[in-house]
Amino acid sequence: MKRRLKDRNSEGILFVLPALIYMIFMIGYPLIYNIILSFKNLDVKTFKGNTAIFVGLDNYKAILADEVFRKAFGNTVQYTVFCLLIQFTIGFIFALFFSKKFPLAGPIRGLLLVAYMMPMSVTALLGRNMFGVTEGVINDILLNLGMIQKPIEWLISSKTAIWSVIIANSWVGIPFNMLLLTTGLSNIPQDVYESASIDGANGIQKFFYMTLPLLKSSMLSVLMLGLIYTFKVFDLVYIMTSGGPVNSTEMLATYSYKLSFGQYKFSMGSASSVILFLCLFVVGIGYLRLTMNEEAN
Amino acid sequence: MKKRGMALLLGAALTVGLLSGCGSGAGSAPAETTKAETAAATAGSPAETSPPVGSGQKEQVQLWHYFSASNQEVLEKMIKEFNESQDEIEVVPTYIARADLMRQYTMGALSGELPDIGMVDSPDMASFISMGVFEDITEELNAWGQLDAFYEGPMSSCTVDGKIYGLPQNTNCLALYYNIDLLESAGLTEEDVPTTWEELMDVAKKTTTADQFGFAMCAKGTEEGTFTFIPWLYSAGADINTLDSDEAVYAMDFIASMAKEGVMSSEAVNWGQTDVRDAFIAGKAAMMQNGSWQIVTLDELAESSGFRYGCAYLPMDQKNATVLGGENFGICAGGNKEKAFKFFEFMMGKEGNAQFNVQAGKFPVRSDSMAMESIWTENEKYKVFSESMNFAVARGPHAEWPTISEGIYSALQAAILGEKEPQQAMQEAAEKAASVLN
Repeated sequence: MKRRLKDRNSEGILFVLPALIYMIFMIGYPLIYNIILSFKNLDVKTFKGNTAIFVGLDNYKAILADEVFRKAFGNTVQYTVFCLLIQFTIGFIFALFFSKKFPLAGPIRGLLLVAYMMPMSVTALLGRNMFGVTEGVINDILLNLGMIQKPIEWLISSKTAIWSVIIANSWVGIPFNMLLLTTGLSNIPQDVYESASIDGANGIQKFFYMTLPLLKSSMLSVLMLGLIYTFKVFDLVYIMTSGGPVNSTEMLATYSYKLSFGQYKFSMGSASSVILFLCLFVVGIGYLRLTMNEEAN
Repeated sequence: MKKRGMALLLGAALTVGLLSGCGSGAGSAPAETTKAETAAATAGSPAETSPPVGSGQKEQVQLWHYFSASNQEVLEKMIKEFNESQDEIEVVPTYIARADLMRQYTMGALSGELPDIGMVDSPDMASFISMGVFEDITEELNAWGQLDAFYEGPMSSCTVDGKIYGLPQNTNCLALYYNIDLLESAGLTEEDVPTTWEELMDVAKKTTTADQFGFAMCAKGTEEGTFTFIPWLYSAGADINTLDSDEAVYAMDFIASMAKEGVMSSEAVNWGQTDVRDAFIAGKAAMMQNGSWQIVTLDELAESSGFRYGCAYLPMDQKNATVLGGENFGICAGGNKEKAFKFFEFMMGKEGNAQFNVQAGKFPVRSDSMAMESIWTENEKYKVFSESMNFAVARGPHAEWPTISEGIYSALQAAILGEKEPQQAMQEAAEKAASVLN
C-alpha cells in the first residue's frame, strides 16, 4: 500500500515538473527581478554599467505621492467596477435568455462570441473610429435617434473618455460572461425546478432561491476572472486613448509601461507594477480560499 | 507496467515541448511580442523586410531604421548602391516601427542585441547615449574631417559632454501651410496670410465656418504635441527653463484661446501631424502648422486634383521661431565600428546627404549638400522651410527630455481642453522640467 502511494506521488511530481519549471523561469524570475528593481533607482542616468543602488522604499513613496499614479489607480478601480457590473448583468441576462430553447439560439449565441474572439487591437481601433466625435458611428446613431442633441465628445473629453473604454471593454466581456454562466446554468438539473413548481414556487422565487445559489461557484469564477483580467487592462486603453485626454483613462498597466519605456524611469515603473501585482495577488488568494472551501464542501 | 510506460512517454513529450518553447526565445524578430503589435498598430504598418541572403564573403552590417513608405525606398536604394559599389561590406537594413524600435534599443542596451547602425529621432538620442546604446565616435569623425560642414542645430542632438555619438541625417522644421481656395472664399488673398499671432487669430476667425476650422495643429499626448508647442514657446520669448514665466503662460493662453474661440478643433488633442495634414487636405482646416516633409504629399495632391496651397513662416509674437526635427544615425555599442563607419562616410558625405534628402523630400544637414540642389533655395515652398531653419531651435539635448516633454504636452492638452488654466498648466510643466533640469 505505502509503496503504491509513493509511486503515485513521484509520478504526480513528474507531471507537474515541466509546468513548474516553466512557471519558475517565465513568471517567477521576471516577478522577483521586477520586485528587486522596484527597490533600486534604475533610470536613464544609472542605466549604463548598471550603477543602480538600493534605495529602499523611495520609489514607493514617490509613486504613491504621484498625482498621475493616484489618478491611474482611481481610473483602474472605476473601470473595473463598472465593466464588471455591466458585463456581468448583461451577460447573465443573455445566458438566461439563450438557455431557453428557441430556434437559432445556438447560432446567435455563437455570433455573440465573435466579440470576445476578436484581437483586442482590432477592437480598440474599431472603438477609436466608432467613438469619433464628428465622424463616429455611435454619435451618428444617437443623433439620428434623437437621443442626444449634440455630439458627445467621447474620446476628447476627460469626463467621457473613460466611458468609451468601459463600453468597448464591456462589448468584449459580455460574451465571456455569458459563456461561463451558460455552462453553469446547463449544469443545474431540471428536476430541481420541477419539484419547486410542484411546491408552488413562481418564476422569481425560483430564480432567487434556486438558480442563484446553485450558480454560486460559476458566478464567483466569472467575477474573479473578469476582475483580474479587467484590472490589468493595457492594449484596449493604450490603443483607444493612449491614457486619454489629460490622464483621464490612464490605467495602472499603461502608466507602468509609460514610466518604464516612455520616460526610462525603470524603477518607478517597476514599483507601479508591483503595486498592481499586489492588488491582484490579494484578490487571487481570496479566490483560491473561496474555491478551496467550496471543494472541501 | 503499460500505464507507467505511457506516463513516462507523455512526461517526456511535455518536457520536449517545454524545451522547444524555451529555445525559440533568443533571436526572435522584434515584432513578435503582443505589446509590439499594439504599438505597431498605432505607429503604422509593421512590415519587416527580410534581410537579403548574405553573399558569403562580405561582412554584414546591421542597420535598423523606421523610415516607411517612400523614405524607406530611398534609403534601401542608397544601401543597395553602396553594397554594389564595393566588396567588403554588406549593409542589411531592417525596418522596425518607431515605437517598437525605441523599445528594442532599450532592451538591447541590456541584452547586448543591438545593430551596428541605429536610427533615432533627434530628441531621443540623448537618452539613448546616456543609456550606453551608442558608441563614442568622436575620434573617427575628427579623422574624417568633415564635421565643419554639418549644421550646428542637428549636430547638437548627437553630442553629449563634448563627445559625438552619431551624425544627423536629415532635418526638418515646422511652418504654416494655408489653403488658397479656402482663403479666397473668405474674401482673402495670399497677401493676408498672417505673420503675427494677432493676424493669425483674425484670419482664423474669418475662415472658420460651419464646415471648417480656421487653424489646425497637433496636440497629441506624445512628443508630437511638444514638438508643435515649442515654436510658440520660443516665439513668445520663453524657453524650457522658463516654462512658468509670463511669456510662456501667454503662449499657452493664446493657443487655449484659439480653441475657446472655436477657430481650432479640440480634437487636436487626439491628432498627430499626419491627422492634421489629413484634415487640411479634406478642407476641414484653412491653415495648419505642419512639417516640411508634408510638401511631397501635398504636391502630389496639387498635381492630381489641383489642390492650391502655400507655405509661410509660423506667425510670430516677439520673434520668429520654429523647432528642429530630424533623424540621426549612430553606431551602436558593440557593433562593427570600423565597417559601419565606412557606410557612414558614404551616406553622410556631401553627395550622399544631398541625394537622400532631395529624393525623400527632407532637408540636408550639411551646408555643402544644401548648396548642391537648387530645390531647397528656389522652390517657393521649400524655401520657406530652409529660411525658417535660421531661427529653428533644437529640443534639448537632454537625457531626460521625455520627462520635460511629458510636462509640456500634458499642459498643452489640459489648456486646450479647458481642464486647467494656462497659468496652472504651465506651473506644473515647469515643476516637471525642474525635476530633471537641475
